[in-house]
Formats: sequence, structure tokens, C-alpha cells
Amino acid sequence: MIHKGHREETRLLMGTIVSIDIVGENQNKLEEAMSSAFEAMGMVEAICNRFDEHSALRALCRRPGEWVRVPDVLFEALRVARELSELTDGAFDPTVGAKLACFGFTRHYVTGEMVATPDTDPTATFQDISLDETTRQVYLQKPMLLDLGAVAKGLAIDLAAGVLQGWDGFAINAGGDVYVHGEDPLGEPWTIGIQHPDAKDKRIAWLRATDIAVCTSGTYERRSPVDPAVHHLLATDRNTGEGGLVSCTVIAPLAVLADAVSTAAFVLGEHRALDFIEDAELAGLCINDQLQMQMNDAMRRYVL
Amino acid sequence: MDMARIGKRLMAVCSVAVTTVYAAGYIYTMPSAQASTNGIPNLSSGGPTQSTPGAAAKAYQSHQPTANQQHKVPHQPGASGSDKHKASNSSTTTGQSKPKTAAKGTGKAVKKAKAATALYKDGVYTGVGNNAYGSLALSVTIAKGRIAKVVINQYSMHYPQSVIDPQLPEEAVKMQTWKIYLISGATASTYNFAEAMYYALQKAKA
Repeated sequence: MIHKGHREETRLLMGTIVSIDIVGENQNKLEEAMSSAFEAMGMVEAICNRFDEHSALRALCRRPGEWVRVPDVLFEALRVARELSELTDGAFDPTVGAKLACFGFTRHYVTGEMVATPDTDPTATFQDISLDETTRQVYLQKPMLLDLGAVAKGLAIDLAAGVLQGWDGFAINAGGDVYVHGEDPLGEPWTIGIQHPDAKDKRIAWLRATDIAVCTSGTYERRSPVDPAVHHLLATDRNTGEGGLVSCTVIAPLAVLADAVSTAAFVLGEHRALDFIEDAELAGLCINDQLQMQMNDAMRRYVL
Repeated sequence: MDMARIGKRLMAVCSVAVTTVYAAGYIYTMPSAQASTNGIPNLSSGGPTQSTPGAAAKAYQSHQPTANQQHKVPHQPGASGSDKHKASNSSTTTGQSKPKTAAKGTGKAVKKAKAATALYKDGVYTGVGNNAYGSLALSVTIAKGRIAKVVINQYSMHYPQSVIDPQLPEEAVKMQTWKIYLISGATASTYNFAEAMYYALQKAKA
């Protein structure tokens, strides 16, 4: 064996493939830790899944026009999403769900079932979501289909990371959103490749880091089955992601932050993406459709 | 909008989110029966088997009145755990139960071994990597002391071979190593491949 105790497991979760690696000598506890980490992620998914009509998210969407008490996970995910919407002047918007459904992102990835799209008001925006901090209640002013994809996935990774604290090392990869802690199975910092936008078999850059989250938002992982030019990250005010950019990678201390900022930067488009990441005081790397790579100074120190 | 404050606002709201969700004690709000139905979907045969999404959310809601500070995540030594995570970009935090004793020594040993493997004997060497989900066997050709070619001979992982082949063999030749790495923006794991490469290169050591 390579020198450390090590366990790796892969499951379908959060609309993608989630792999967790744990490094540590305590073999007996590895399996238990693994299950706990997946349970934490599964819990976030169960609450925030827009494809599952039984999720707390969908239950909320069925009750516009009234104050609804929601689980903490959903409340916090909505709060992060709303904050991000404000900071990007609505370029990022969690009410994007109905538009995603129009473009055919309606099939539940686990069951293959088609999601019946509830009636939604096309004028709904993030400003129609009100949050009451003290009662943990949410008020939707218009019928809408919420999509917390980016934020919920980040939150799920951070929870799993919390569960796994104390191990020599671990890595969580949820569909290309990565959190790494401690050391890899060789006792070194983790090595993270940035997916090449054009070729599934290539990495366009390599990072060396630990105790950070790396999230990449891009056009190339999921394409609309209705219109191949449309991908699952939509800027709500123009219906398609901004042209020019093909991917945005952000490094942050929390996955929810990295995921939120990379998604927002991506929908802001080529001319504003890196500035937004810089304003967020995070490390960023953006690639445009000419495969030109731009990064800020904070990113440079991670690049191999 | 005050651009200069974006970083602080986002960091604050994200930290609060993570901390709050930890504190809610989500883990114990799932009955153990539900936890065990969260099986591992087998991607290679038939459909995924993950069941009853939504049940956990219901269980969570039904537990909410009591699910507060007394239910801690088992691996978190108290509420400070989430703070620890928050601060984790600046230091490698050490959990109280960190099982670390033997690791240091072996780590050094491997580093030395790695330095010594810079030169390989010419020839063809095989290696196998295994985990619970499948196995992978490969052969490494050493020419003039360098990794000249890597071929995956046998493959039975839970994801299609095309996910890693020929990219990992090509990368191994290009980078002259067998590193373990993750991909931001994609999903494949490289551990089995790295393990098989490691064994093959052990045999090839000059």
C-alpha cells in the first residue's frame, strides 16, 4: 500500500458523482467516518433538491404568499443565495429554476423521472424572496421554482468536511467541486487539476493546496438537451450564460463560498468575472472560449 | 453597492450558514434506518439504488423542536469544531482524536523511497490497484530509465474506462510520476491508477 490508511468511496448525490477520500491510520473508523460524511451530504440534498417533490425546497415553492418555516439548511442556503444575488445585481438568481426547466433540465438524475414543472410567475426574481431571521421563515411573493444547486452543493461539501475534521487528510469531490484537507495518501498537499474545457481527457492547469475548496463553474459538464448552446448555469436576465467565458475556478476557505463565487463570476461574464472574484478577496482563474487563461495574484501561488 | 465589502459580506454569510447548519445537529435527526438506506448506487449494473430522498427532510422537520445544541455531529468535539473549519485555510487543524502516531515515520520513509525511484530499470512491469468498487491492472514500460508507456490491461471500475483511459496513462508519461490527484470540474478518481503505478514502479526500481 501507499503509506497511509486510505479509503475512497463514490456515490450518486447532488445531481452528480460524489467521491470522498479519507486518509488516516485508524482503519476501524474509516468506514464510519465515510458513512457520516455521505449522510451529511445526503441530508442537504434531501432538503434542497429541486427535482424531488418531497424536498423542503419544493414544499416551500408550493406555498407562495405565506410565511413558511423551513429547515435551517434551506434557510441558510437561501440566505447565501439571496446575498449573492444582491452582490451581482441579479446576474446570479436562485429563481432560475423555472428557466432551467424550460431548457430541459427537468429529468431527475437518479430516478430518470421527469419533473412536473409547477406553475411559475416568469417575472419572479430573488427580490420576491423574503427571509425572517428570528422565526426562520421564508415568504415567496410569487410562484417560483427555486434552484439552490450551486449553494446547496457547497454547503453539503462543507458539512461533510466538518464531519471529517480530525483525520490526517481527506478530499471531497462533488462533480468537480473539491474540498481538500490535510495531506494526501502520500503525506503531501493535495494536487488538483483544472478540467480542460474542450477535452475531457486534459487538465488545463494544476494546483497544489490543502485546507481549501476549489470550485469550477463551466459550460462543459451539463448541456441542455433542448438547446445544446445552453448549459445549466444560466444568467437569468439574458437566458443564456454569458458568451466568452467557458469556465471559472475559485479557491476559498469554504466550499459554499467557492461555489457561490465561481457560479456568480461565471454568469457575470468574461469582462467582470475576475474583478468580482478579486472583490470577493478570493483566488480565481478564468478561461475564455479562445482558451486564454486569466488569473489573479492570489491564484498564482497555488498554480504548479 | 460597496464593492470593497463583497469579500467580507460573502465570507460572513457563508460562515454563518455552515456554522448554523452544524449546530442544528443534522446527523442525529436521521433515523438509523433511513441512514442505512442511503446505499451505494452501483453505476455499472442497472439503475442507481438510492432510495427515498425526501424522507430525511421529513425526519429532520419532525425532529426540529428538539434538534438543537445537544445533538452534535459525532466527530465534532464541541461547537468550536465549526470555527475550526472556518479557520482551516490558515493552518492544518488537529482534531483531538487524530490518529497520527505512526504516520510521521512512514511518511519520511516513503519520501526517501520516492527520491530513490528516480531511476528505473528498463523493462515492462505490471501493477494492480483495488478498492471496493473494482480493480485496475496496468503495465509500465521503462525505456532509458524513464516511464515510456503505460497501458491499462484490465479494468473493472464503477465508472467507464474512457473516463481515465488514455488520459491517465498519458499524464503519467508526461509527468514521469504516479501522483494521486483530484480534478476540479470533473469527477474521476485516480487512486486506483496511482496505486497500480506505484506497485509497477516499485518493481522497476533500479
